[in-house]
Amino acid sequence: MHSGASGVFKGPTTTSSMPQPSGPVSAPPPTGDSYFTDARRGEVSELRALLKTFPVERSLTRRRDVIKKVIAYMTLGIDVSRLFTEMILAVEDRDLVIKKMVYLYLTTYAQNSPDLAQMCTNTLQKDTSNDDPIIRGLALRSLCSLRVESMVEYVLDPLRRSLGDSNAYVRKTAVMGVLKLHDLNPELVTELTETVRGMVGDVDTMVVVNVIRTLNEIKRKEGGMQVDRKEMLGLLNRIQEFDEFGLSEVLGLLLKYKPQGKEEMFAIMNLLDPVLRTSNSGSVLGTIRCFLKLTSSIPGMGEMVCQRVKPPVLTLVAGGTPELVYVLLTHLKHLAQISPETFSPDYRQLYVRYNEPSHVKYLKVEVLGLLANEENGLDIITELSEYVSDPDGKLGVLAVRAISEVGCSDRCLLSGGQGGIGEVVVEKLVELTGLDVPHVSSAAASCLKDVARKHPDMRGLIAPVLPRCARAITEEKGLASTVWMLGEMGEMITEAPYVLERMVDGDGWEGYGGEVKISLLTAAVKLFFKRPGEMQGILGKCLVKSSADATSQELHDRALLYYRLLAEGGEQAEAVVAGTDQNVDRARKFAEEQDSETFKRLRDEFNTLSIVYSQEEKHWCQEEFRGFGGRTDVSEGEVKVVQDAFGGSVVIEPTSASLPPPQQQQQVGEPAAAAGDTYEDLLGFASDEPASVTVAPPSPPAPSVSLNPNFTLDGGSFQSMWQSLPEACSSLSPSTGSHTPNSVEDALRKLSILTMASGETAGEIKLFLYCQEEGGGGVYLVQVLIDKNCEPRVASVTVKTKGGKEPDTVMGMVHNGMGNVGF
Amino acid sequence: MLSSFFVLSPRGDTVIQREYRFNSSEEKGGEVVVVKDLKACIEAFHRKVRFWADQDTNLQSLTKNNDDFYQPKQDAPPVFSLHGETYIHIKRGGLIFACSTPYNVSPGSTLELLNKIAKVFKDYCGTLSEEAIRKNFILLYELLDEMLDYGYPQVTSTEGLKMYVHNTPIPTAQVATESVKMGGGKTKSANSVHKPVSVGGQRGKEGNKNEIFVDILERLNVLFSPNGYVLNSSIDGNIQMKSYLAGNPELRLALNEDLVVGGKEEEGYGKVVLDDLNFNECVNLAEFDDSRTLTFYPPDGEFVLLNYRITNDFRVPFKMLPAVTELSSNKLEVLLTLRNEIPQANYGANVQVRVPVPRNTGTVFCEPVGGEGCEQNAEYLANERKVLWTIKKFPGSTEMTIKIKLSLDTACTSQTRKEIGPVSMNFEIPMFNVSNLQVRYLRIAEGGGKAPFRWVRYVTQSSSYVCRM
Repeated sequence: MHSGASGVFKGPTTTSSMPQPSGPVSAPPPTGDSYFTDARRGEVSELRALLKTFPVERSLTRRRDVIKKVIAYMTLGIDVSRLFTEMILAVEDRDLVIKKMVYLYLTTYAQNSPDLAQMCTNTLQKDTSNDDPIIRGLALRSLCSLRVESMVEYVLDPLRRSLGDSNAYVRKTAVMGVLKLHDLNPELVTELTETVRGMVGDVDTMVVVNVIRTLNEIKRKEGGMQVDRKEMLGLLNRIQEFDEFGLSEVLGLLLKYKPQGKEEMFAIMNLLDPVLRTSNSGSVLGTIRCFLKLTSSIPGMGEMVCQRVKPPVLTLVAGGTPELVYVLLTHLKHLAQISPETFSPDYRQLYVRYNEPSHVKYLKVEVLGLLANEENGLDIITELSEYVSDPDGKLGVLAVRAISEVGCSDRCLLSGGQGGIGEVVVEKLVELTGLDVPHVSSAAASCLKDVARKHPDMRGLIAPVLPRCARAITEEKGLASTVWMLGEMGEMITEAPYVLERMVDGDGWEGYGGEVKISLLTAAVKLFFKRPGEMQGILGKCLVKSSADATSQELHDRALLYYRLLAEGGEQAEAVVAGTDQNVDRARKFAEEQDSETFKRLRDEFNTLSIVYSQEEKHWCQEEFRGFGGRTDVSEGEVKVVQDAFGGSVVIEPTSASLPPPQQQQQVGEPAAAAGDTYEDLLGFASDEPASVTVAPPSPPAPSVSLNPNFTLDGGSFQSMWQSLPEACSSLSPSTGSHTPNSVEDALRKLSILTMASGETAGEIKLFLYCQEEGGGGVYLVQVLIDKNCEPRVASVTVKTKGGKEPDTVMGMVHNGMGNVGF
Repeated sequence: MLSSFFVLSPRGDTVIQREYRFNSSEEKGGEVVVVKDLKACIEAFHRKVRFWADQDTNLQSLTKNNDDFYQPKQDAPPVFSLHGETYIHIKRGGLIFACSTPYNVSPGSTLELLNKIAKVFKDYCGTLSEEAIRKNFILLYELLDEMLDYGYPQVTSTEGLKMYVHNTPIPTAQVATESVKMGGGKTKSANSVHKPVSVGGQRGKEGNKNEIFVDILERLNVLFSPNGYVLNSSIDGNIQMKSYLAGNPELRLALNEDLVVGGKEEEGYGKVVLDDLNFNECVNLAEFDDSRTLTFYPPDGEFVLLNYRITNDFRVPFKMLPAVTELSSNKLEVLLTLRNEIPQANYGANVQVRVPVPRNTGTVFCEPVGGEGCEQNAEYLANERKVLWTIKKFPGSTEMTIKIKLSLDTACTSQTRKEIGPVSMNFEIPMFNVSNLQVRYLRIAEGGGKAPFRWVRYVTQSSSYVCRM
C-alpha cells in the first residue's frame, strides 16, 4: 500500500502486499447487476472492499491512501458514484485531509444521488459550528456546493449564522454560499441577500469582493450591484487592500458610478494611477477601462488617457507571456484606433519578432498598418515588405493588406500624389504583383483595386502592369481584381481589349472561377462603352459564353441583365454599369470602413472578451450570460428617456466662469463644462492642452422683449416644432433655492412664458415652455431641466425659435424669472 | 466567473479538472436538459488547440495551395470561442492550463489567474510537469478549492494559501533540468532550484536554509540590416526572485542611484535610462523616486519583482555580418561573420545560429572558418531548410565565421535570394548585462538577525536576435 502512494494512478495492483483485516480482496463479490464485470468495475469493487476496512483502520496514512484512491479514480473520469454510501461514513473522520477529500467527493456526486446526500447533511451541519474556522468554512462551502435543491432548507440556518461569523474566511464562504443557493432557489435567499448587501463595508476585503460578485449576479436584471457615493468612495479609499482580482471587481463597480464633477473624477483617477505601475495586466487594463469611462463625456480626453497609459501598456507587451501579449495587443489595437498619433512614434516596438506565436505576429502587422502616418509611413512600409515572403503565408497576405491599409489611411493622405506615401504604396504593391509567390501577388492585386478606388489619380501607375498581372496571377481573387481594374482603366491600356479577348476567347475560360468570369463580363461591358469598336466582338462572345455557362447562376443572370440593358440603349446601360466613381472624395470612407459606431460601443466593453473578438457582447454572448462585462446599459437607458421626450437631443453648452465645476452632473453624450486648467497637472499630462473644449461666453443679462400673454400652442405642433427646429441657444446655471414645477411655472407665466408640459421625477424637474413675441412675431420654445442630484442644483435651459430674433433675450428672461424662485 | 478549470497533459489527457457551473442542468419549457458535458467539451477544445485552422475565408486559397512551403504554421490563440463557451488557456511546462466561461469576462484578468494557478502549483510541487501534477493531485485539488470558489478567484497567493492547505507535496525525481524550460524560458538560476515551498508544520525545517535568489535578466531584441546596421533594438528586462527566507522579513533593494525613467538618452548620458518599468504588487515605492530603493515583503516562491523596458540605443553584444555571393547560376555562397563585442572576461554560451536556405536548395556544404579551439558545429537540417551553427562557448572580443555553399536545383532568381535568411541567433551571456542596471544592495530592512545567503546573478539572453539578408 505504501507503493500506492506514489503510484495512485496505476490502480490498486498491490493489494496483496497489504494486511487485510477483513478477508481477501482478490476475489471481489460479483455485483448483482452485471455478469460482465469489466476491469474498471472490478477496480471499483476492490475499492469498495477497501473502504469497508476504513472505519477500523488505525493508521492515518493508510486511511488517507484509501480515500485518495477513490479520488484518483474520480479525477480519471471513472465513475465511483457507487461508493457513495461508504464514502459518507468516512466523513466522520477527524483528519482534515480526509475530510477535505470526502467533501470533494460529495460535492462531485451529490447531484447524482440526492437522497443519499441527505445522509451527510448532519455531519456537515455539525461541522459548520466547529471550533476551527477552517473546518467551519470548509463544511459550509461543501454544504452549499452540493447543488441538491431539496437540501436548501438545511443549509439556510448555518448560512445565516455564518454570515455573522467572527472569522473572515467563514464569512466570505458564506457570502458565496448565498449566491450558490440563489442559483438553486432564488426565493429562499431574498432575506439573506439583504444581509449580504449590508456587508459591503466588511473589514475583510475578500468578504467585500464576494459581496460585490454575489450581488452583481443576483441583481443582474437591475444592472448588478448599485453603490452610492459614500460606499464607492469608501471602497476606493481602501483600494490598496484589495488583491488583483478584488481590485477588478471594485473597478467594475466604478464603471457604474458617476463622479460628482471633475474634481472628484480627477481625484479618482489619481487614486488609481499607481495601479498603472504594477505588472498585472488585468489590473492595468481594468484601470484603463475606468479612465476611458470616466472621461468618455469630455472630448479629447480619450487621447490624453492613451498618452498616460501608453508606457505601461508597452512595458506589459514587452515583458509579458505570449498569451498576455496577445490579449494586450488586441487592447493596444483598440487604443491605437482611439488615438493613433499617440502610438505612432512607438511603431518600432511592434515589429514582428521571429520567435513569436503566429497570432501575435498577425496582430502586430495589423496594428503597424494602423500606426502609419506621414513620418513613419515609409519605415513601416519597408518593414511590412520584409514580412511579405515569410514562410507563414498568412503573415505574408496580412502584410500586403497592411501595406494597402497604409495607402488608404487618412493619416497618410496629406502627402498623396507625387512622391507621397500613397504613391510609394502603389509602387510597392505593383512590385509585389510581379512576385513569383501566388498568394502574395494575388493579395497585392486585390489590394491595388482598393487603393485604385481610394486614389483615382494613381491609376496611371497601376494601369501599365495590369496586362502582365492578367497573365501571371493564378489565384481567383487576385485575378478577378485584375480583370475588374482592366475594365475600369481600360482606356489607358492599349492592349486591354486583347487581354480580355485572350481570356474570354482562349482555352482558359472553363478553368476560371465564378468570380473571375463575372469580373470579365463586367469589364467587357465597361470597356465596351469606352472603346466600342475594339470591344464589340469580344463583348458579344463574352455575353454568349456567360449566359450559356451552367456553373454559375449569378453569371448567367448578370449576362442576361447586361444584354437587356444594352438592348434598351447604350446610354442608359452606361449610366447603370459604369456608375460615377470618378470623383470619389478622398476623405470619404468606403462603406466597409464605416464601423465607427461599433467601435464607439466597443469602447464601453474595453477589457472584456468583446475586444478580443472585435464584436459587441450582444453579438456573441448568450443573453443569459450578458451584463457582467460591466456595461452600463441601464443608465444609458435612463438618459435615452430624457432625450426622447421630444426627440431633440439636448446639448448643454458649458458656461465657464459662473459654474462651480464639482457639482456638475455628467450625462452620457454631453460635452461637459471645463475649467481649462484643471486638466493640466492632475494626470501629469504636462504640455497637452485640452484641444477641443469650447467655453461659451456667459449669457448676458439682456433686456426683455415684450411677449404675447395670450398666445396658445397645441401639444402636437409644439412637438413637431421642437423636433424640427435647431437649437438656438442653451445655458447652464446653478441655483440654491428649492423649487417645484409649479413655482417655476408661476414665475414664468408672469413674464408671459407659458407652460406646455411639466413633470418631476426623483432626479429632475423638467418643463417645456413656449412664448411668442408681441404682435405675432417669432415663436420660442424653451426646455428647462433642473437636476436635483446636484448640490447646489443646476438648471439647464435650451431655447429653440421659429422666426424669433432674440433667443438669447428669451433665455435671459427665463433665467431672470427663475431667479425669483431661488435661481 | 469561470465555469470550469482543467489541466491537460501534452498528449491531451485531462490531469486536473474542476467544474463550477459547467454542467448546470437547466429547465427549458418544464423539461430539464443537461446543457453541456465537460468531458466532450475538453476533447473538442484540445482538438481545436492542436489543429488550429484559420476561419478567414480570404485565405482559403492559401490552405488549398499544394505548396507546403507557405503553409501557415499557426498556433491557437489563447482566447477563442467554441459553441458559445469561451476557452482561455496558457501553456506551461508542456501542460495546458485552461478554463472556460460563457460570460464576458476580462481576458487579461483571466490569463493572470491561470498564470497564478500555474505559479502556485509550481511553488507547491517544486516543479511543473505531468508527473509532478499526477503525484500531487490531492494537494492540487486542495489548493484549487481554496483558490476558486464557484468560479471566482479567492485566495491566490502562495503564502496566503499555506494556512488552508494540509497535504504535503510529494517530490518528483528531477530529470535533467536543462531540457525542462519553464516560464517561457524567462528564468534561469532561480529556476534551477526545484524545491517546493514549505507547507504547514514543515516551516521550521525549511527555514534553516535562509537564502534568496535574485536574477537580473535581460532579453535582447535586435534587428540588423543586411549590411550590419542595427535597425531596431530593445531590451526587455526583469528582476526575478525566489525567496526561502526565514520569517519573511522586509527587504530593501537598491538600484543604480542615477537611474532615469521615461527619459530620452540625451538627458541621461552615461546613465541607465529606462523607458518605463512596472512592479510587483508587493513593492512599496515610497523611496523609489528619491533613492531608487524598493522595500517589500517577498512573497513565497518565485516572483518577478519588476519589469523594465529600454528602447534607447545600446551596445549590442554580437554583430552579424552576412555576405551572399552568386558563384554561378545555381551556386551560392553565404559567408556569415559574428563579432563578439563583450569584454574578454565574459563569453557567450550555447550560441545557436540558424540560417534559412531557399526552397530549391539541393545540397549544402557548411563549415566554420577559423575559431579553432572553440567547440562548434555546423549542420544542415534538410527538413527545416536551415543551417544550424552551434558554438558552445564564444569568448568575448573575438570573431567567428561560417561558410555555407548552396547548390540549387534550379537557377537562382531574385526570389531565391529573398528566401535566404533572416538569420536568427540564440545565446546566453552569464554574469553580464547590457543595460548596466545594477542591484546596489539587497538587505533585510530592520535588524533582522543574520544575513541571508544572496545569490545575485546577471544574465543576458537573446529574445529575437535577427539579421536580414
